[in-house]
Amino acid sequence: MAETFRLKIIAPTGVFYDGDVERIVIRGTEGEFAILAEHTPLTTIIAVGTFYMIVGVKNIKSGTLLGGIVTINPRETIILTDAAEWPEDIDLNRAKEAKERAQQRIKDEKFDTARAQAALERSIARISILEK
Amino acid sequence: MAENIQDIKRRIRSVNSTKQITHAMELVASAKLRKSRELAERRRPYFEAMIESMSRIVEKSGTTKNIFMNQREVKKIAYIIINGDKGLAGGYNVNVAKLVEGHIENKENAVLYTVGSRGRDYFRNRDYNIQGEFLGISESPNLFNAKEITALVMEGFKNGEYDEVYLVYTNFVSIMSQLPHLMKILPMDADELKPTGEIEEDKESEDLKILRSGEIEVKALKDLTIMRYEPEPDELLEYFIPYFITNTVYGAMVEGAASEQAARRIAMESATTNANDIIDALTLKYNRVRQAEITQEISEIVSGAEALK
Repeated sequence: MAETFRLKIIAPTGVFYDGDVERIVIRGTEGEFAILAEHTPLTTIIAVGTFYMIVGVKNIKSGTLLGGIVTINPRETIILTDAAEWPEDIDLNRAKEAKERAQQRIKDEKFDTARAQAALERSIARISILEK
Repeated sequence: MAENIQDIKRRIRSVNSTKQITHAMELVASAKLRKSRELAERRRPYFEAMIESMSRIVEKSGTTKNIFMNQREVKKIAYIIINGDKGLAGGYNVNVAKLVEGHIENKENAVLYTVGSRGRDYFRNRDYNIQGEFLGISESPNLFNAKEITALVMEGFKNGEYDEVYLVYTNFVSIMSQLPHLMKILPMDADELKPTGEIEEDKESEDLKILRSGEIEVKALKDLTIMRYEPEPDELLEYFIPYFITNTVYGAMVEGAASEQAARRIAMESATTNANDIIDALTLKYNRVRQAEITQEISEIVSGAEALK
């Protein structure tokens, strides 16, 4: 058994996950990175994307994290995120529609490009977790 | 016999239907209150974790050059006012509006952002400068609305449109008591970072609060030496501040939503009680009048019979 560490994923709407895991892989602003037990204390920003975590043998969970901050302490690792979702919480059709809408809005000058871009990133993350 | 028996009957019916409405509103408000309170509770762990991280970064970066943390001469002040879309909530809307009015020294120097139509109407009627209005979100606040408001206000602050930003909302103390509250959110004061937690601790005593913030401080100091930051604390702070303010605004909206429902519930409860009292009084009157009428009729019949003898 690999060593585990305490992981908390907290969103404004509630505690999303709280438990011991062996490893979590998340997307930072500089690319994907993994956190294992005994990681050096670190605070950094995470991007909109997917994550997967190894809870134990043959127990792998994945989902989306829509941006936020991760703080790694010796005691625990806390991920503060805007929103987190398990795959079963995601509506694939809605995500696809959102993606198309966002793509159109990026081209259209009427809309706020930054906002559309953010929406696009969110929908891509959602779709990719379901179509893996 | 001043009053007509039909009139009294009609009044009883009318009061009764009002009672039914107020009673229904009371039930709806208490159902919504339960939901809003849950939302407020669920937000707490996030907010606490966020304050902790934030205070660490601030300590690490020391005297930061971040524009959002620097005090400057105050010429114009912006207010974010969290209010309801609907009335019939006792003093909920008015108390907040009065607090703002009391705080504004000069109308010309105040810029308002209002959440909820009640606040907007109140200040529009009094010729205040309303720069942004957000309708239809006060009952079910979500983070994205809070983000929108925050982005707007931070932009304005950055461009020098105003030099201070206050957030005015109603603190949900308990079902029986909601207090309007005014707090400064921009520029942020590094020393004041911990007391901002006070909006959360509704049940905790003052001493406990101090103890807790001290705890965070000690913990932060202990870990300071080894915590690494990526990117640098200053840069991280730039990312963190909007996050923090968004969440504060969101928290105020959530607290406000809970307060609104609680205030409405209490108001409707007393309206229902009042309607019951009126119905009781009217029923008594109705019976008296009816009795009097019967008595009179009997005496008329008797005297009629007497006359026939």
